[in-house]
Amino acid sequence: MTEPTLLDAVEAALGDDVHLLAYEAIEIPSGGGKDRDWHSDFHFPTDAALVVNVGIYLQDMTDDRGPLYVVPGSHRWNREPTEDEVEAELPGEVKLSLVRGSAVVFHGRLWHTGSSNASDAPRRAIFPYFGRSGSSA
Amino acid sequence: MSYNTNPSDFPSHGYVVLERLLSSGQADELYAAFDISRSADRPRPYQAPRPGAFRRTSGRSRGTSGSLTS
Repeated sequence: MTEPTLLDAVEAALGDDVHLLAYEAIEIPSGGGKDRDWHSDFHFPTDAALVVNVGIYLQDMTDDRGPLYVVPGSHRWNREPTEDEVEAELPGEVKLSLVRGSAVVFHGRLWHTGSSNASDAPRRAIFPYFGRSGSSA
Repeated sequence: MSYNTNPSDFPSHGYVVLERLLSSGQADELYAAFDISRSADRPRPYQAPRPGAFRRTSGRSRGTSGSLTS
């Protein structure tokens, strides 16, 4: 959580005064997950990033492990995916085929989804959430 | 397909990738820690108290500060 590279990126997104709000360790077992399950983590009525989520992946995110997908720019749409969009492949989606130890910092409103873990091993990642201080919002 | 690795492009893209934030060794260690954590957190079997273990054997109750066994 104190890696300068991580904090620099979080501060670039949120401002200089950030707080660690929570963190989760998430495991998706072999055979788990859906091909797409688009959602955003937070809803706030401003384009400013008030919360960012960070995914730190602990294995190489090959296609069979179920990499994260994002839709760049979707944090500005100020809406949730429709029923038809939730499980669809979306135009402009980007697959994050990360090597293990890599991280992605993303806006709380960004549309994102994990994908199916078709490998024979669990997918494991750590997700810290950072928030902007009220004094600097 | 390429992805954004430039923090200054966060406002337009809504995300930025930090490649190799952790070394492979650190990632492997944390991956394995999930198994250690699961083992440590495994609930232990419930053991019922022996009969009479919480029975007041003499004297009067003195409220929450009193002893139940003396």
